Amino acid sequence: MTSRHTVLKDLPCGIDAEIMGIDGGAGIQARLRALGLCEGKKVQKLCNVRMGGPVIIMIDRAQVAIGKRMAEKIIVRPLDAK
Amino acid sequence: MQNKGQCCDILLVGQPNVGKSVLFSKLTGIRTITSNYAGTTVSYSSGILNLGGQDYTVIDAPGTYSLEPLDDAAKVTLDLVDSAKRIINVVDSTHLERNLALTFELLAQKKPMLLALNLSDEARHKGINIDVDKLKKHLGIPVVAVSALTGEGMNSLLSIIQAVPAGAEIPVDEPSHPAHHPHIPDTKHSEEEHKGHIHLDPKNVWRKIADISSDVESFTNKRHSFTDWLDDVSLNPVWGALMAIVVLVLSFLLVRLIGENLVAAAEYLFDLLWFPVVAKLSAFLGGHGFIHSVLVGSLIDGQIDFKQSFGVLTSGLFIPFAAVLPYIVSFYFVLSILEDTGYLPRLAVFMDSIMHRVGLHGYAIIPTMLGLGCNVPGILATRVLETKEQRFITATLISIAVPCVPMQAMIIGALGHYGVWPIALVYGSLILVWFIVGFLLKYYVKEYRPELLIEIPPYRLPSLKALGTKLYMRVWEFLKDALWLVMLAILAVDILYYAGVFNYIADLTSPVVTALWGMPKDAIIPLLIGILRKDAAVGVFSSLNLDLKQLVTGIVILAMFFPCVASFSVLVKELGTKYALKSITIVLISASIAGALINFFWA
Repeated sequence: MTSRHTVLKDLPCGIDAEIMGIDGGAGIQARLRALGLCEGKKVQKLCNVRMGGPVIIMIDRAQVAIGKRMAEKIIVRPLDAK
Repeated sequence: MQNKGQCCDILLVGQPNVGKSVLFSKLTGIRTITSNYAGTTVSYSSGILNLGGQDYTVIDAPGTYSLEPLDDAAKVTLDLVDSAKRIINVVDSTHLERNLALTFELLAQKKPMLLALNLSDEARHKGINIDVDKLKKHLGIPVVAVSALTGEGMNSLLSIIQAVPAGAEIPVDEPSHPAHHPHIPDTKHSEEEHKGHIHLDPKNVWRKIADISSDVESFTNKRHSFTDWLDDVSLNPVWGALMAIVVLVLSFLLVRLIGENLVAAAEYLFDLLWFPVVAKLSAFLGGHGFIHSVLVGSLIDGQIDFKQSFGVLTSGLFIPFAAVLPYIVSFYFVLSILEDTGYLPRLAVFMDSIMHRVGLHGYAIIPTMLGLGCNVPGILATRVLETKEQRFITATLISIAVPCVPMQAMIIGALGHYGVWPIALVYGSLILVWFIVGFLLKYYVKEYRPELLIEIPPYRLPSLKALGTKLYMRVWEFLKDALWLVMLAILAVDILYYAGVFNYIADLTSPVVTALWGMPKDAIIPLLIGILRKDAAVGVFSSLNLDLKQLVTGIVILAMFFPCVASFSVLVKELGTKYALKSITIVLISASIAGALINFFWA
């Protein structure tokens, strides 16, 4: 299978992925980095909260909620589906 | 480094929700409010630690993920770090890797520092083992595993504090290789351009941190616990939303159940113990006259009525102790459970899409919930929000549509015997107002809106001791800050009535009060008293002989009207005069409109 880049928001739930980049300014990059989200990090997508709610991921054994529009700026590469 | 202004001998620095405040209380014996979510401490508190006959000043800095001055918490912390003699970097052992990012930024500040691995008991339960000696070698500073909650490891922490001299370089335990000395090799900064502008190459530092944590951490498998199960349910897209509703409804019912019973008990005690005393006083004073109307108030059908007499010694004590205090206890008991279990951030997640409609994101629900207790801490807690615009919207909405517990207790007392629907009407109107005003503010404040980005802390079983401390502090704050204001408000009513000042004001404002809001002209009095205390003001409303429509209209206007003096001063302090005045203008206009609408639509 060829690896396909997508954004965290569109990644299916329960899938592990690697962060390939963050499409945003220095402010957003820094806020995300503070919670451990930066290029090369592996995350697991847990779910999208309904009605345009945030995306919930697992990173470094911590759950992090990321607003929908911010999650659209995080480019990820899905790793093998379970 | 030495000749700068000094903040303290010991500065506690760490990321949000790592338990700095619990450690601070343990060190200084000063009670602080602690919870299980990021941003409980929005300003810093200081205290004294006495160690071997020597006093050390200790400061608990607000939590910050990074020293990069992105928000106020980071800026405050950076200034404190600059002038501190020693730093204790408090670290969450269950999230070592992420916490070390801040540690490295602190190391670059070259201050005497030690690392406290807090929450070590929780890490152990989760099957996370940290090799303290290895970590010490990697970082080149003293490291000690503690649990501030249970007191584990505190003795070794104290002895290390004594061993770390102020202002000097730290005694270093032979770093494993020179590269791991506090001076981070990957930095491209010169000594002079520090103070927050340390240009670490983030990627290299991150790699180094990942290497260190994989070297010192080891994991043993743990069983799936009840809190894990709860975690799955509360973040599940379907069940989570349902659970949010169930939790809120249950919380509300629990607050009412405890509150009602405590009110009944307090009323019983007042009738049994205090009534005979004030009855004697009333008889002694002859049942009328200026002194009588100030101390005892007016007699209702020849009898003292604690709810309506409005004397300083009758209603002035009854309102704070028998009507309000019971609900303060029950509300904060339930809120503390929600705070300490870690439910509030989960609520923020589920409220996110709703809060976006009013120009905010989900985390704004936390100041709003605190505002339901008292608007003052609610407005202070808006500091957790990133931008001035968000703080303005949240604080304005709290001022308009979030009634505090003392006021709610009095509302329930005033409307309870009419059944549930008048109370539902008041709350329904306020919720509607909250949405409409928020929706309008969103378009008025056209700014970049930050998105929700929060860590969801693990569920924790609340510690009974922490719950008790927090409840005690909040009850004490109410008694200390509010009791005299309630009595002052009642004194003001008595004196101004007696002097006939109110008649003059009532005539002046009657066009608005009578024509627009459909209430007798006297209804301006509680609205003005509301500036001192809104609970006392509701009491005045119930003594005015209004019909139900007028009572509901009056209470909704009062809830929305000019904030009480305590909230107003915090509003000015937090938003600045210009924004506070904008906020007040919006408050007054919406209160007037809402009053008029209820008056015209209630057939």
